[in-house]
Amino acid sequence: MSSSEYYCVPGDRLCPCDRATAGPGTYEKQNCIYASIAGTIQLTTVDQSSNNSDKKPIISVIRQDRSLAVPSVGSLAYCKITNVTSRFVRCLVFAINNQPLKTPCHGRITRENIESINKDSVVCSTKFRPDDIVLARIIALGDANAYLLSTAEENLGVITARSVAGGKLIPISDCQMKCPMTNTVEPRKVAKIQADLTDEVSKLT
Amino acid sequence: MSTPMDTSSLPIKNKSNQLTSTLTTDYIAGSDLISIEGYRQDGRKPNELRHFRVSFNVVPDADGSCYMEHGNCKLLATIYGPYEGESRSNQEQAIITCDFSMTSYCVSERRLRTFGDMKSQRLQMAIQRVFQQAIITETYPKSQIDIYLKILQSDGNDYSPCVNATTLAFINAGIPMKDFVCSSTVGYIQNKCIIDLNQQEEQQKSPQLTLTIMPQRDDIVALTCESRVHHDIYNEMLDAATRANLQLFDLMKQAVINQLKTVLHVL
Repeated sequence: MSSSEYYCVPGDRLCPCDRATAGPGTYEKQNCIYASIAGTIQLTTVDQSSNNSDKKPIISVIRQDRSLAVPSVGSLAYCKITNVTSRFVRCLVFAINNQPLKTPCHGRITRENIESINKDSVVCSTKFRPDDIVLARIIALGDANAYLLSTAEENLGVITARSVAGGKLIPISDCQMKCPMTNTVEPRKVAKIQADLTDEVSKLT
Repeated sequence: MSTPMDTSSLPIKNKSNQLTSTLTTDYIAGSDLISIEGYRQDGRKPNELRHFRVSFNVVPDADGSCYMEHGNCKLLATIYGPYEGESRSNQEQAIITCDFSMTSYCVSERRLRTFGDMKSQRLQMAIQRVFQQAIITETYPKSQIDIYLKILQSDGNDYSPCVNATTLAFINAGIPMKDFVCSSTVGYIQNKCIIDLNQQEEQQKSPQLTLTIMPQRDDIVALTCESRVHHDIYNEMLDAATRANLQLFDLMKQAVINQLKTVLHVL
C-alpha cells in the first residue's frame, strides 16, 4: 500500500503485464496495464504462501467516494425473498459483497440449488419464506429476467427472518429457526455464520 | 502562407484561392475573421482554445454529472447507470442510450422545438456510438447506462462540447473507460488553420473538420469533414485538430485530478 497518493485518469499506462496483474479499475491491452477509472493507484502484494503460480502484485485503481458494485459470477449476494413457488424462489438482490446496489436486481434460486445434499427432494416453502434476508452466491448471469443464485453451501442461506407471529427468528439448527415470542419452530435453510457474528446479526432488523 | 499585410492592402474583390473550392471571399469587408495582428474576432490566436471550465457532481441524484462551459457553450451532461435495463436481452455488454435536448433559450432566437429534430437525433446516435466504443461495456453485462445532455447556451457546434462533457461525466460516475474522448473543430480561414470554432467562424463557408480522438491511445474515434479540400490542407487541418484535442485533454485531465484531490481531502 503506497502512502503517498498517485492519481491516475482513464487511459494512463500503469505498468507492463509482466510486473503486475490487473486488478479492479484497470484493463489490459497489448501487454500493458492501463487505468480505466480516475482514482488512486494501489499496489497489493500477494502473500507468498498462496496457491497462485505467479507471485506478482495486483495493481488496482481505487475510488473512495464511489463504489460501483457489479453482480458478477461467484460474488456473494444479499437478497430479500419476494416469491416462493414449488419450483424456484424469486428474490431482490440489494447488495453484492458488502457493497449496496443503487437499484436492486432480480434474482432466482431454483429448487435444485437450495441445498447441496438431497437436492431433488427439497420443498421450497420449508427452506425460504417471503421477506427473509438470504445470503446467496451468484452462479450465473441467467436470462433476461433474473440472475441465477445458489445457497448450496453451509454458510449460505437465511440470515434473518420473521416468524408468522412477527417475532425475529433465532436459528437453532441448520434447518430450523425458533420464534422467541411464540416458541414455535419454523423450517428454514439457515446460514451457518460464525459465533461472534451472531450478536451483530441479531441487531439487524 | 501569405503574410497578413498583403491581404489587407489589396482592394476588396472575389479572391479565388486555388487550394480551396470555396467561392465566397475569405474575409468580410471591415471585419476580418483573423485581423492583421493575427487575432480572431473574439481575441484568440488561431491555435488557442476557448475558455474552459468544468464542475462535477452538479446533479446529486445522478451517478455522474458534469457542467461544462466551453467558451459561450454551456451544457450539462448527466449519467445514470449502470442499472438493470428495461429491454434486458441476453447481452454480454451494457447498452448505452443517449438523450439530447436544448433549452428554448439556448440560441439567440427562441426555439420552439427543443428535442426530437434531425440534428438532435443525429447527435444522439453519434454520441451513443462513440461511447459504446469508449466504455468497457463488458464489465456490466445486461445493464443499461443513460446519458442525458442538455444545452443551456449554444455557440455553434454542439457535438464537440457534448462529447467532452460526457467523457467527464463518465469519469465522475466511475464507469471504466478505455481512455478519454476529446473532440474539437478546426477551420481553414485566410490560409491559416484555426481551432475551436465559435458560431460566427462556423457559419463561414470555409473548410471545417471535426475530430474526435482518444488522446492517450492516439485513436481516431470519429472524423467529420463536409468540405472539399486539397490533401495538403487536409493534413494540416488534421494536425491542428489533433493538437487542439491534446490541449483539451490536458485541461480535462487537470480538472479530473483537481476534483479527486479535493474529494479525498474532504474524506
